[in-house]
Amino acid sequence: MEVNKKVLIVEDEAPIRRVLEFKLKNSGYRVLVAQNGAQGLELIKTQQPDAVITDIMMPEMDGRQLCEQSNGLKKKRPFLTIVVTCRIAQDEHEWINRMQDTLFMEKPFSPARLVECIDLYLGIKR
Amino acid sequence: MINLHLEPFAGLLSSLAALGHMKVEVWNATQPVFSTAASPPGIAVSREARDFSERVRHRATFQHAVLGDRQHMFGMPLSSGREPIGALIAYTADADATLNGALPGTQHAPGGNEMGRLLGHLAGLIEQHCGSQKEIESLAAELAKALEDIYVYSKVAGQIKSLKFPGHKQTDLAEDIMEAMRMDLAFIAMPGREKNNVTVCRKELAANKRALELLVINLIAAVRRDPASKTEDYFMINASRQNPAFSRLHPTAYRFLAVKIRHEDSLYGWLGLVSFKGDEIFKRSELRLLMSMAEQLALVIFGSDLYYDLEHLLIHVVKSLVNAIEAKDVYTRGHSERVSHYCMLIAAKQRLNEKEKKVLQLAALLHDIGKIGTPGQILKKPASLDKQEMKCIKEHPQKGYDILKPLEQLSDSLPGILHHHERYDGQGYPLGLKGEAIPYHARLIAVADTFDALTTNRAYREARSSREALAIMQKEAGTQLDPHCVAIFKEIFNQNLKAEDNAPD
Repeated sequence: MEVNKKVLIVEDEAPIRRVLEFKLKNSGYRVLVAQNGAQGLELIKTQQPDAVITDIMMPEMDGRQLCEQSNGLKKKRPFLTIVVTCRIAQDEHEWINRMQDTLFMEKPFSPARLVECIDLYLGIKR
Repeated sequence: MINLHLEPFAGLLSSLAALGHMKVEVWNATQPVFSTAASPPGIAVSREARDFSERVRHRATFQHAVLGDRQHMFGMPLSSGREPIGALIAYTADADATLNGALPGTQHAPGGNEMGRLLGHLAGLIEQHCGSQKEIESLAAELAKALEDIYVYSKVAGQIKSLKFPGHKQTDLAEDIMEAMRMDLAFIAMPGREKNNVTVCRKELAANKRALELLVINLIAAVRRDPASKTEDYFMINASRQNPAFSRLHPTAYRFLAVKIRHEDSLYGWLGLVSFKGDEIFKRSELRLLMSMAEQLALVIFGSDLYYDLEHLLIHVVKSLVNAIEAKDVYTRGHSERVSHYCMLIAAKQRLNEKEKKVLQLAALLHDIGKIGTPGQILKKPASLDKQEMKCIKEHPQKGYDILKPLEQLSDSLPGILHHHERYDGQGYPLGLKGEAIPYHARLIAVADTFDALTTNRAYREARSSREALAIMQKEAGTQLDPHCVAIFKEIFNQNLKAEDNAPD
């Protein structure tokens, strides 16, 4: 099933990137890929993805900075951000809660559930 | 069908087409998927082109054909392994003009050879790229599956670790398994250990809970009847409809997986899943996962069984030890058991936790163990004891303590044993501790010990009634005995005595 929606993956680890790319493409999404927060922010601005999946710990610009710097863009054009991270600390909760349309998923995560989450946000029924 | 990944080659093929004044197309098994002239689906398809690409795929070698007047077609097969998956086709308007004066119309023209080599290299590149793409995709698919498994396991593993049988946590565990593995129902069924059994189902099915619990009972019965369950570690029904023994257990189709919860030769029961989603089947990885969870469960049960057995063994060993000592003196036979019994009544009233109860029980059972070193004639002497004999008797708490000290399991019970002859006013032995400084267990044992001594026959006097004994103890409260402990003890016995008074003789 083709879905005319763009999902951006921001992840420095290639295998995780590949898995997400594979899962999303298989679910019919168009996929954009970035290896760090800086590339990710650029793609958010130029390509206007409908959903962003981001890791927290990355070189160049980390996931938190990416979220904080892209959060302003959501006022005009909302999009979903999913922060994928290892065991979440209390203070991580706090800044994620301050972001618009942003949720987190703990690692180890289920790729299938992640896609379901995006489907739900974008109102895609399978 | 295998996907051709052509994005990285689009530029290369376009430049080549422009340089050689030709058109380049890539075909999969049925249609062109790339063309330097147009993008799909706008690619014009002629009958000749279709036939030619089929010929290339079919013969699986380089082909050259001349169409009509001077149109040349060159084709190179694309394959994945040995399987032909498509063709790379180049069309030139004039083979002579573009390929250094090759002779038109002949298949072995030098221009044709050049073209063959060029297309061969290109096809090789495309094949290699598609091959690695395919490999990456299958690795990604594998990894995705592995991540799903890890996710399920990480959800459930923590639960298993903190599991205690029987307890409420097995419900949480079953729910986690059901939720994480996307099932409609999960169960733990242990025949003979019904307390451990649990069946959970999705909220939407809660109205049918009764029927589903019955289904689980019937499933387990059916599995146990099946001879395969004797030898196999798991039992799987992917389509209930195809199995008459199982199809009649539920009106709608379902699939069902149960794995044995076992440790070495002991089969404890089954961990199982049921799904009513008809279009899916159980995957190998799900089976593996459930089996490893069942293995962990079995270890938990094995461990708690072992613990239970050891605890009981300890109590039994202690009791027989005590019996052996008490056999020396007919008057004290059963004394320790009774003292322990009274202490347990107090423990229940005071709501001590299980661990504390055990510690107190062992201390009470063993409080006189030191008498093993006291000569029989002193213990049984009907008259009052002289100074020397008294000294000997008073050594028994310390002796008991010394005897039991090497036993680690009893270390918490030692204070109760050592101090059970201390007096609340500080006049007792061995240390002369006073009031609250005397360990709580020792104060409780002192009360129970005194009560039993008063209410049984002694070499030097007859047994007193419970009421008399309680009255005497009340007088000793605050001097010999802890008044608080005496009050608790009186409360327990007054209840019992009232019940006795009301009971017909």
